[in-house]
This record gives sequence, structure tokens and C-alpha cells, in this order.
Amino acid sequence: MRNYNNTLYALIAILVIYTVAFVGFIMYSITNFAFADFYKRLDLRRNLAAEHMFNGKGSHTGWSLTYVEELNNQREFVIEFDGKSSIIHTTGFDTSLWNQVQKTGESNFKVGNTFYSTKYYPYKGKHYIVGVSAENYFYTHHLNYLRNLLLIALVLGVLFVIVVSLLVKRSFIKPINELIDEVKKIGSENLYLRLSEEKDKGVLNKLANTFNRMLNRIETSFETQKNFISNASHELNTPLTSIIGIADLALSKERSVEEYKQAMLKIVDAAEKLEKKTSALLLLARTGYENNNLNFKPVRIDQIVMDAEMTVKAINERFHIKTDFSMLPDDSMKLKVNGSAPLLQLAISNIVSNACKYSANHTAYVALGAFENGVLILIKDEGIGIPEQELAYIYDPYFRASNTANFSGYGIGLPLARNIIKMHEGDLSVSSTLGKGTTVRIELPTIKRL
Amino acid sequence: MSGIQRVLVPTDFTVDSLRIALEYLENNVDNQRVELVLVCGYDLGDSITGLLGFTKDDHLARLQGEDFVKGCEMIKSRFKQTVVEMYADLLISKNARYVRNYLKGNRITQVVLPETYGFRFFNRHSFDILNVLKAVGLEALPEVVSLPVVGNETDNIDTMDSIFFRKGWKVSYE
Repeated sequence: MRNYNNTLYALIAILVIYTVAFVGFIMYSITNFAFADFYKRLDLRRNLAAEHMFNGKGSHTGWSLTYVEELNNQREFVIEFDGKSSIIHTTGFDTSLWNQVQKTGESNFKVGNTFYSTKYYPYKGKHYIVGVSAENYFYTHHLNYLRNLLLIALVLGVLFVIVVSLLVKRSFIKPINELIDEVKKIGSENLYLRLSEEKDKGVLNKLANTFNRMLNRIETSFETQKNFISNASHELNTPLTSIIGIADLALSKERSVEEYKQAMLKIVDAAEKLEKKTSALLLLARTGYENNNLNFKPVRIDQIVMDAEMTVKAINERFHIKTDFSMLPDDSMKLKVNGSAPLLQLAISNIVSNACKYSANHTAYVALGAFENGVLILIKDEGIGIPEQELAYIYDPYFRASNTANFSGYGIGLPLARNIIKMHEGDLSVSSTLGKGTTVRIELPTIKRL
Repeated sequence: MSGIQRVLVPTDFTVDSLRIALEYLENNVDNQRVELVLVCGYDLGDSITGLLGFTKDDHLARLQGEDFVKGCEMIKSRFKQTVVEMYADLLISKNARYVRNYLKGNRITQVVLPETYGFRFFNRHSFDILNVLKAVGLEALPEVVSLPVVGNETDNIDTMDSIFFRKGWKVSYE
């Protein structure tokens, strides 16, 4: 941020220096022009005055000083001097300015607002200096006006530059600050929150998108972990309870060796069950959730859909699944998806079992089709549906629609499935009509053929 | 039969209307290679700016929804062996002579007439070409294939439902 500010101040300074230099240049060149122009006019009047003086009124030029416009406070003067530096006689000349007058040629100088133009004339063995003085109206009035104008413009310009720069800075920093605020809001308890992404393809949008993808991965692993823990604790609890029960019963009174043996055998049995379950859980953890992004392999989506259906049926035999494979493409390459089979299977089986669970006939309709660069899986049910105003929240973990009170569930399956699909760069969308049914559409990109 | 048949299939650019094409392809038992032209009636209007500024392709791009295109791609990948090409086109007039010229000029060899299908148009410029085709007279048309396709009466929750779960769809296992 400091660096940002330094750049900004440097930019402001450059713009201010430029403006000042520009104003200075304008002032200088206009003043220069005004002086040069005025001296020229004075020279003309001085020449006319000299002609008038030395040639008399019958001058053959045909026009004289009276025809030329009178300047402000215009005064002609003649100085007669000895050829060195002593004044012999002068008419209307302030002798204190004698030093500034060139004794041999022309000279132009200015005292205050009064401008002087003088020239040396030798006439009949005497030395004269003829001069004209006048006030420069343009210099006293117009240039002052111009100076004030430029000063005001300069101040306004600098203010403008500063205000605009600060505004630009703010508008640059604002989206970043917004992003920071949004990221700050996301914690472990609301990992489902995402940064808002705009349609444009700016750098900040890319940043938000990258953040969101990272959050997807984090959320998925969080959820799988939570799921895993709750499942695992439940699964492990059952055999443990029976072990404790059997042991308690055996210890409640004196028993024969045979009875103790029986009890021990039952305990061993339960412990073996426990061991099997822990090793199964370990296997699940190893295959499913470890480095799941790194070991994506080409998998056939129809195989995964069928496996998922088998899984669902194995869990609950009342569930029916009707599959429409009529749109399976001729070319099996169109069904190959780059992904992790266990994860995709988990996602699809979750959705299929939801479809069965929330419908009275416990039937899910599954269809599969391939379009140009992806596959489409449609999972449909004729169940209770989702209220329209709650559709926006269905991807939040632990959210359960208001009409699901009679069904058991934790509200984990759909968010988990969606995150898995998103990890595969696919798309999961849900459309539903309350009381009529729900359709889940999954689109997954297929492997691009070279 | 040899060569490729060019088949005119009426559509209204809904996924549901793709069932006409599906029905046709499923009845195509001897795997005749076909080129499907999905045709919809569309009045280009008489505004000169509209006629000059927009080509047929612009209108087609606007009319074909994302799901419709996906549905077409799905049919194409499903019937890869038989469907050589599949594209949409517009009939821009109800004039009988225009229709006859269109069929002749585009070398349409078969016309599918879904007798019972009710088209649903979401664009006020679109019109039903079934009546137009019938008005031209069956003798003027190339080979006519009549199909008893019924429009989907139930309101689908997802538009893609239409091409799946049709009557008689194959249930893999239960």
C-alpha cells in the first residue's frame, strides 16, 4: 500500500509540475510578445517624431505623428548633449534615467509601467537624442488579467489533478478492499460463503475466482472430514457399547469359567467387528479423500453411474432406480471424464439416494447423455420438491428445506456432491417444483481429444 | 438405399421438439445416413434496418437456446453412425412458391410431419410450418414421413427432461 501511495504522489507531482511549467511558459511568451510589439510601436513614433523635428512639417512622407494613434501617456522628448555624457538641454525628460540611454545608437528600456525608446541623431554638428515614452496599457491591464487567470487556472488544475488522482486511487483500491472484507467474513463455520464474481474478465475477478476454487477445495475436505467423523463415531460406538454391556454383565456376579469364556468370546467377536470397521474406514479415507486433486484419471461416467446405483441399492433395498441409457453415445470416448471415480461415485450416489429418500415411491430416474464436450447426468424424482424460496440455500451445509422434517438427514449430501462436481470443473444445478419433484442436472466436461 | 438423405424436421427450438428428430431416428431401422435440417418458421419482418442488419445466422443464434444446442449435440453423439450433419434453418415466408423453392433448392429428400405435435413458440415472429407445408400440397413435397409424436403435456421441471424418459425408454436394470 505504501508503494501504491508513493507512485500516486509521484504521479500527482509530475502532473502539477507539468501544469506549472505550462502556465509559466504561456505567461513568459505572452509577456515577451507584448514587450516586443510595444517597443516596435514606440520605435515608429520616435522615428516620426525625429522626422518631424529635423525635417519640419513639410515632410515628404505625407503623414505624420498626428495620424498615428496616441498611446497611453505618450510623451516625446529631445535631449541635446555634448556627445559624451553631459546633458546640455532637454525637453520633458527625466534626467535620472540618463544612464539607461544609449549614447550612440538605439535603446529600449522600461521603468515601471513606462516604456522608453530612444535614438541618437547627429544634426548640424550637434548631438541629439530623440525619444518617446508611453505606458503599455496591454502590459498594465491585459497581462495582469492574464496572470490572474492563469493563477486561478493553475490552482484549479492542481486541485483537479489531486482530486482526480485520489478518486482514481480510491476506485482502484475499493474492489480490493471489498475483496478483503469478503474474505474476512469467511471462517471455518461459514465456509460455504463465496466471493462475488463479476462477469468481466479482470484481474480481480480472476483473483476472486481463484479464491473461490480454493474455498471449494477447502470446503469439500472440511465437509468430508465432518461427515467422516460423525459416521465413524456412530459406527464405532455400536460394537463398543456391546463390549461394555457384555463385560458389565459378566462382572455383575460370580460366574463359572465356562460363562466367562462365553462372555470373552462375545467380546472378541465385537472387537473383531470393531477392527473391521476401523480398517474399512481407513481404506475409505485412503482411497477417497487423500490428494484427490492429484490422482484424477480418465474414468467412464456410465460405469460410475451404474456403480453409484449399486451402492444406493446396497444401502437401502427399498430404493428403486430407473435408468435411461437410450441417449448413450455410439462413441464411448464421449463418456470419458477426467476425475476421481470414488469421489464422483460418492456425489452421484448421494444425489440418487436423496431422490429416492424424498419421494413416496422411492424411485429415482437417472439419465445419461453426451453432448459435444461434456456429459450430462439427469437425476429426477417425483418427490416432495423444494420450496421455491429455499432453492437458493440448498447448497449450504446443514441446510434442510422446511418440508423435510419427516425425513432423516444432515443436509450434507448435496453440498458435498456439488463440491465434488465443482472440483471436476463441472456444473450441478437443481430445479424443483414443490410437490411435483426435483431434477438435478450434472454436467461434466469430457476429456478433450487431441 | 444409398447416399445421404436430407431430412426436414420441423422444430420450435425447444428441447421438447427434438423428440420429433429422435422419433424419426429411432424409426430409421435400416441405418440410412441422414442429414437433419431442423426448420422453424420465422418472419424476418419488413423493417429495412432489420433486414439489412441481421442475417439469418444472427436470428438462428438468438433462437437456439443453450439447452437446445446441447440436446442437438446429444442426439448427434447418440446417432453418430447415421446422423452426418444436423443444423437449424429458418423458413422465412409462408408463400407456397417460396417453400417449394426452398425444398428444391436445399435438395430436401424427406419431410417429417409430426401430425399430433403441438408446437409452442416463445417468439412472436415464429410460425408453425406444419400448416404451411400442408398448404403447399403433399404432391409437391418430397417423400413425407408422418410421425405420431405427442407433445409433452406435463410441465417439465428441467427442460432437458424432454429428451429423456420418453415413452418406451429402455430401462437398463431394476
